[in-house]
Amino acid sequence: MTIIDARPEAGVRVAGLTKSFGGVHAVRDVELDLAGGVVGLLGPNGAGKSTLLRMLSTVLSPDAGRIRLLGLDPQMPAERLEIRRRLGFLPQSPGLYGGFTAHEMVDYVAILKEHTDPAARRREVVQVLEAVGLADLMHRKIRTLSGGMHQRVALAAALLGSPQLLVLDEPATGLDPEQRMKLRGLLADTAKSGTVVLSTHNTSEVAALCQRVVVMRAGRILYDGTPRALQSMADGRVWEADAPDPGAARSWMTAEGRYRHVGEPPSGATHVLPTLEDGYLLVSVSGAAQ
Amino acid sequence: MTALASTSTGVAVRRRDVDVVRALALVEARRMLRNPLLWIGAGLSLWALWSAVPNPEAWAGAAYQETPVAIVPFVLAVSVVVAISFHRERVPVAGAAPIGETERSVARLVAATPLVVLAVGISAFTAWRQRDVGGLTLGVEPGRTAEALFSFGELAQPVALTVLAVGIGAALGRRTPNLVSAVPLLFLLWLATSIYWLLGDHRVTPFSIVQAQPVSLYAGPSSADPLTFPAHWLLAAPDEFSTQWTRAFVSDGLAWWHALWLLGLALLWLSVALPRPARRSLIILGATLAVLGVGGQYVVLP
Amino acid sequence: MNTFASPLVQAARPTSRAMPWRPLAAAAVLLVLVLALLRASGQPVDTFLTVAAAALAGLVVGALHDPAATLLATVPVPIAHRRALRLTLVCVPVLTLWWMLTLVAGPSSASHGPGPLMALAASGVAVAVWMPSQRGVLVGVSVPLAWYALDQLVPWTGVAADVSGWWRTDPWSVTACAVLLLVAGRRR
Repeated sequence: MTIIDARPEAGVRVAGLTKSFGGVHAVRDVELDLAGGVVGLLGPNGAGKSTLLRMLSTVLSPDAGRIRLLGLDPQMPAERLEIRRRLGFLPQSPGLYGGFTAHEMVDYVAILKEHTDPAARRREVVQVLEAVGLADLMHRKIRTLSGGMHQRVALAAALLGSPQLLVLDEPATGLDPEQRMKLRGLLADTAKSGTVVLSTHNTSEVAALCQRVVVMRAGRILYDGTPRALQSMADGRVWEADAPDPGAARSWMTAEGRYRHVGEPPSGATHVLPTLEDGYLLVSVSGAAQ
Repeated sequence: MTALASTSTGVAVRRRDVDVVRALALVEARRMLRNPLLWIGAGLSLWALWSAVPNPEAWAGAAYQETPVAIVPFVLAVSVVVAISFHRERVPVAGAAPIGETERSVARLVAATPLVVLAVGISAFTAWRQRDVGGLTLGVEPGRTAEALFSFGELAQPVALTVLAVGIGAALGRRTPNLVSAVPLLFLLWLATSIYWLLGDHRVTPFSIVQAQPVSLYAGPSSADPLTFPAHWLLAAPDEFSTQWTRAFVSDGLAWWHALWLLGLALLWLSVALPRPARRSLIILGATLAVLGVGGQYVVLP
Repeated sequence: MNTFASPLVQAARPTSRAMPWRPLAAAAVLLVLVLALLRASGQPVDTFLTVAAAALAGLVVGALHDPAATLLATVPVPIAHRRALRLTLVCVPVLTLWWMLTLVAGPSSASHGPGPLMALAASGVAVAVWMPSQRGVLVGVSVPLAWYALDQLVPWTGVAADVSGWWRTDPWSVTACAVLLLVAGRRR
């Protein structure tokens, strides 16, 4: 039996978390203990990342299992309210009001996050919009902004009030490399005083930003540990050749026109240094729980 | 040589566009025809048409005048189904594809063709049902018939209304931000048009949407001897609603010009749905047809 | 002590800006026009007033549609409160419009209180709250229209006729039942 420790400083503690939609098991028996730092959720489409994030952000209730966020129980209405006061959430497809300016949109969210002092709220809104690089565009209507800017408006809304728990579903979608770099800095700052959980398909983002990575597939956790350890799982199991190797677990053509493989190498294979992506692919294929 | 090459390239491009429009139209048509709302609307209209039989307890001409209104559930359903299709255009999908919004909209309109065919079927059913019951009653003695049948023009009205329904659905679906606002508006629009007597007066009937013949025209004062009126006139006697003899005017020509007016309206609504390049032509053509339709009705009306 | 207005009060104005008013304005123009024509021509207005009630009820339910619902899913202000705010904001102009329509319709419409409108709207809102969020509002909008159609277009007899006409004959009971359902589903 798993006992949940209700220490207040624990960001996220879940045990046996399960959620199904009809006959589809989106999340199965997930156990996590996250306290501070940036945690990356990695996995293919349909792995259950978004469903897990929605449960961590109190949007969805689990079918089974225990969950505590910031030491509080989201199943209790009063505690859920308190969690939401200290939570920031960026959904996968945030809807915005096209007729509002970026400032008005974030200000509206700030009101609903109970920032009732107009002067303080104004300062907070400007601060978060500056943090996401929209200071010059904050008075433009949202419908005139690009998709990447929409994403940044929604991110600014999530950052309101310096949340202790920040849950981001694919936050880098639509961002150019420079914006991704700024996002990394932003999240690193936030993680100093709280917990950031983000989902991504991009292993390089995980490598650059996350102290911890959780690999999911088909609703289950296959790996939970550091990015370095995940990468090192592929030591000696990545090689290149001029032709695809049918015995490899995964192989693909590189930009140089050679073939890179992960799996059990044949004798005489030309080994190469593994990347985090190689480790992720190896874990995904083997389905190994770590 | 170059002209020939560019001509053959142009022909190839047009053929490809036609192929794409056809493929898109098939996809949209399947979705429209699978919508249960369409069949519920058709069912309600067919049931209402089936029930439009002479009733001795009702006033003379009741079944005849209520028959055109029976199409309203079907055209409401058509509008909603088309609105759903055109509403998808608001979601940016494949924006960089060589096929632009105009072609996609044309495909959606082609996809609505089966709905117009359904309307033809409903008109055919109307014609059959009226013959099946031996005709409808119109007028009072000495200007009465018990074998009144809809003319071709009157049978064309459901088809014209369906085309109008496509136009209205396309416009509201494309231009309202969400369907939850469009659906009640369509409901209100079509149910308002079902109040056929609102624009039933001969002075304004050319502007009606659902036109229910006969149109009442002054024949003579209440003291007039109805035997002195022309023998071919259908008559309505003075009653609580009218203190004079009226002529129940039925005209195939009136119905056809009215159908032209509806077609013009349909094009005007479509101009709202389609992007700019097509809009101007639709507005000019639609306005022309609408004016011709109204003018023709006034010419036909005595 | 927090001396500032509550979040809901402060959110009223921006929420109002985010709501679709044009469809309601278009409906208002059409309704006033048609009723004025009916009245001017001495025609009965009762039937059209029932159509108006159904259409306006649909528009009231439509006010629940929130394009930013996913972004606002985790704000501390409960969704039930935000829905109540939207409904309050839309009901004020709708009920004002209804009062105007009864004025335009004339003395014969004295018995046309807002009961049927409220019954249909409350039923639609209750369904919208209980349905899964993606389609909930669209289904809820269809409820008043479908109930009207079932009542007016289908020749029910017996109990079915009574049930289909409840929104007209016993609107406040229907409204009360719908509100109870709403309260039961307030956290959905």
